[in-house]
Amino acid sequence: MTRPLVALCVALLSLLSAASAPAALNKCAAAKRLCVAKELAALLACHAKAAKPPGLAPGKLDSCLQKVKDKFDGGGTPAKGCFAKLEAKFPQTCLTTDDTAALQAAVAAAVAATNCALDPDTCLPSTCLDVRSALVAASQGPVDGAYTLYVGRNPNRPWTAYCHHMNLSQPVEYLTVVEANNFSQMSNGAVVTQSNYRRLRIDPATLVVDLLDDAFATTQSGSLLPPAGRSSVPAGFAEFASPNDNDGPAAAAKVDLAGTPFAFTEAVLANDLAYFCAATDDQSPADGANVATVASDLQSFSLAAIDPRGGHATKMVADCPHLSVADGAITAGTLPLQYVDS
Amino acid sequence: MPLLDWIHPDNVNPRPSSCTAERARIATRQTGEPPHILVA
Repeated sequence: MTRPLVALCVALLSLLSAASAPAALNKCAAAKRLCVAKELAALLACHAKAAKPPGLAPGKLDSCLQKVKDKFDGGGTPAKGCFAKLEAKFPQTCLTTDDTAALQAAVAAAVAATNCALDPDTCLPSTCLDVRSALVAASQGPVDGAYTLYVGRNPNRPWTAYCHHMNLSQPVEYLTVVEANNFSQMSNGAVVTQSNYRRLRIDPATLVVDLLDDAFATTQSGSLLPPAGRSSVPAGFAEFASPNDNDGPAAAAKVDLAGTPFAFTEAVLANDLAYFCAATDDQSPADGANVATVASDLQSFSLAAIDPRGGHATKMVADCPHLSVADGAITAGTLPLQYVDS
Repeated sequence: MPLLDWIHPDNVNPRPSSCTAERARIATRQTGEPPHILVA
């Protein structure tokens, strides 16, 4: 089965099936199903008209789609929406309320998946390669820059990617972040080596960030060099190593996704934040001032690393299994993200 | 070079005197739900 077909099946299943649980006997919920069925059918009918030779005149498809959507959500008069009228007709008995937008989004996803399965040219781009292919097909030169991609080709999950290496056969996706709030430090107690990240490498399918990709990092070098084999301090990595006792301040690191539609997955909180850890160069317990702080909205975390013992090093890192190892052995570092539906 | 020239603005605070002090400092910078904190 092709990928668009799989996506279509998933979308339709999520929209139409309630798995094996029997539906509750409820007139409002039953009628809402009919609202959804009518909208789905009417939207697909619009696209069918547009696809049938000789096609629709410019603007006709949009007006057809808008007319259907207005009927579902009431357009400028929400009270006239299909769901709103049912909630007024069956007061206190509807199983759900205020779910017009949620179901409309589900229908939009199903329509997009249907179109994509039946005509690959209509698929929403999920990767920079998709964008590149479309540009090349349109005889436009693919250039690096910001493009809108859709997670899972879902029209409800857009994000702005920076597409890099668009002139190559395998362009790569980056997530643009606020440079001042995405940094990693290595401190010797006097001067700091700091890398700032203005873009993070992200896999558009798995939404995993590569903490080691420094294509868009800028590094100011202090006395401590980045980990062996690396030209930058990895994202999510703070290390402190001073020749003196009891000096500071701590080395810091921060990853902040503010302004993007992404947050960390709950996995970073699992097992009392076991995703993070402090490691010392001699396996001794780390000082209690080594701290990892994850914001409650899961969009940022901060690290602080310090070692009060002169001649020793401590680091506080994300992705503990990969980044807490000896600096020269660092070969990977990942941060899992999720799309935050608005 | 002066020390603070190299320190990121988020890190100009003096080294905390204790874990409790650090927790309090972080907590006061947050709004809404408290952050999740790991202390080594």
